[in-house]
Amino acid sequence: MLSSHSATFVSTSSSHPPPHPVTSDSRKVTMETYWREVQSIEEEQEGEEEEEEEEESKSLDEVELEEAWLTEAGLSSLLVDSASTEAPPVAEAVLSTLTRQQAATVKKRLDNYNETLRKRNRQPIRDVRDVFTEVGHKEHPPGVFNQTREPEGESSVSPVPQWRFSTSDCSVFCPSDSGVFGVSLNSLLDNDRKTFPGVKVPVFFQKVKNLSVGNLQGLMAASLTLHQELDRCWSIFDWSEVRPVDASGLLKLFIRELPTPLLTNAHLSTFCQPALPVHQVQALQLLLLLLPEAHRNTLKALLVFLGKVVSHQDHNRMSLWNVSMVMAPNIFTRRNRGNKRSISKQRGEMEEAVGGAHLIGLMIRHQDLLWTVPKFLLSQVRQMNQASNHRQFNLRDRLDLGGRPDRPDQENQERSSCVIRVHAPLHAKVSMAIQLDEQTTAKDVTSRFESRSSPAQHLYEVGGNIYERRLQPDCCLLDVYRENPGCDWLIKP
Amino acid sequence: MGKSCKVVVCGQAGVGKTAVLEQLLYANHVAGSEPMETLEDIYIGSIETDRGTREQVRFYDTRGLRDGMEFPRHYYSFADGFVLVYSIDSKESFKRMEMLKKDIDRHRDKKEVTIIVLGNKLDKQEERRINANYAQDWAKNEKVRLWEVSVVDRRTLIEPFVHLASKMTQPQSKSTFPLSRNKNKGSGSTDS
Repeated sequence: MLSSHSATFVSTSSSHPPPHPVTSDSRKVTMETYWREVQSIEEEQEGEEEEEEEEESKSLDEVELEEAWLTEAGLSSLLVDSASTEAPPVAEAVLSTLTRQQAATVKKRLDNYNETLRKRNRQPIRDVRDVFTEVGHKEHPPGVFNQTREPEGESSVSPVPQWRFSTSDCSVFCPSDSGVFGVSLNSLLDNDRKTFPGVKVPVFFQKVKNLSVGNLQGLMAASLTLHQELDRCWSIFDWSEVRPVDASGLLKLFIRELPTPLLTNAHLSTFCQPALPVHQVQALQLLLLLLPEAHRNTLKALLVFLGKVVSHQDHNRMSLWNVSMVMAPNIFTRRNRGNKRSISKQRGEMEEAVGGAHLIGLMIRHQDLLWTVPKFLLSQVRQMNQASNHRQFNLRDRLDLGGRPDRPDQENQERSSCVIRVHAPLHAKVSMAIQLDEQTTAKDVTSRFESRSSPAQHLYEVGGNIYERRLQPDCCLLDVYRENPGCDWLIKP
Repeated sequence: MGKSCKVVVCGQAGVGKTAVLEQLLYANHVAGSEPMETLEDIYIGSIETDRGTREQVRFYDTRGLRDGMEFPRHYYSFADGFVLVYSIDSKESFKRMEMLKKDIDRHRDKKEVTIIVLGNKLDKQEERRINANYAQDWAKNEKVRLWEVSVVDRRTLIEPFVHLASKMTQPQSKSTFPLSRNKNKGSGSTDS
């Protein structure tokens, strides 16, 4: 199977201009990596595959049927109650009271129920065209800008709008509370936050990341047992004994097994749409904004990590292209994997493979750019917020609640002469008035607050016509001031 | 702890108001470093009073006054205390400080404010233009405490500010004659 793939690729490659600056010679070799990866994924999935296909035909009725049976048997407590947030009690505890035969029957019913329910909760694949029209319809609240903060990614300014996602975009569904694989990112994060409050990327992900900087390409066979063990006893798992190769396998498996793909079903096909390279980065910027926050943060962590792997390419021989190729089939999990493969279908698959790998490469290479919200979007948000603020302000005026009473003279004076007041609630110097000129940058301001002991600080623009935006050190403040004269200036980590 | 006291630090431009505060709070001011004009900075400091309590003080570091500039009126109305700063190497700064003292007295109405005076740049002994005794006599007459200090020596700054914090937060009953205590000793300074 593998050889047929690569053979077809070679024949078609001449008709496609190489999307990546590599010689065609090395491409021939490197595309094999891609198909090897695909094959290993397929081999691993073969077992489940057959099951899955027949199970797909199970209708909703089956869930209800099993539900009815379990309820009748007095075991309704095992059912996943969608209304309550409580996790169902551990099945083993309930089953221990039954005879072995009874327990087996109940277990079978329960497994079936859970499995079907899980299938049902998998979101349907949406058409590309629906993606943006839907966002347009949804009214997003004024100024919901949030920061994605990553300690290592200090150069990136990432004001990220929190689009309201329909629940189907980030389905919170957790078949087994303790698992790691096949659990949605949201429930995984919810679990992690119980132990590590405030985490943004699943802890599993971070652990694996730490381990496998050296080599990404791993052997999958050994990781199968690890996989099962991890799923069973995640919280007490000993990470120190995992080899990097296994870790990388686990990482890929983790990404593949997410009930909702990392790029989400809704947007996956959009990511794959061909576009001009210039527009591709831009399109990626926008698409990433559409991802649910947990997905976006995880993807960011993944890209930072992959960037690190590539930076070690002298030692690990993992070039950007190699890394992209290994990751692509994991991120762009392929659908309709039929047996009847026509020539045209193979060709399409080939394009998809090259495109996917190319896209991952693009994301790794331009990751700094990706987390910056495009300017036009920012100004659009500013305008919208300005409009809604105006309405609110008028309303407040009429209700005679007035503005801030303190020192109106001084405030007016400051506004006309480009003086900003920077607040730093965490410092001894809590506030500082600063005269802006054309050259004043965010770094100039933060340096005035810096002391030897304090960690790196950032200047934020807060309020006014934006919720919050972290300013890049070289950002010209006068421009920001003109753009958002009503904002507050805040210094924080 | 209640709300913090507000202290306004004012005086002629370039007498070292910011330097005094930075040295007091961070202990990292380097004397002779390039002066940066302040517009208005606010610092929060925690000072242990002579009664052993810790008091939070908000310092308003104001813009240095230049010729023909009036001190902004709004400061008079909300301050609980003033730190008037002059530089011992400048007669003009002393005069400016005297005027500020008068203005404060005129504007404070019946509100009780604590005032301390700092003669900065004690390290510039050889360029001294304001006689130490002359300054202390003036202070005695005005019923305020005056210290000659140097930002080079942080220890000289501690006593004035501890006094200020203690005074501002003194329980009402004891401060019926707020300035009587100051008469007995003319100098708390370390002048030579």
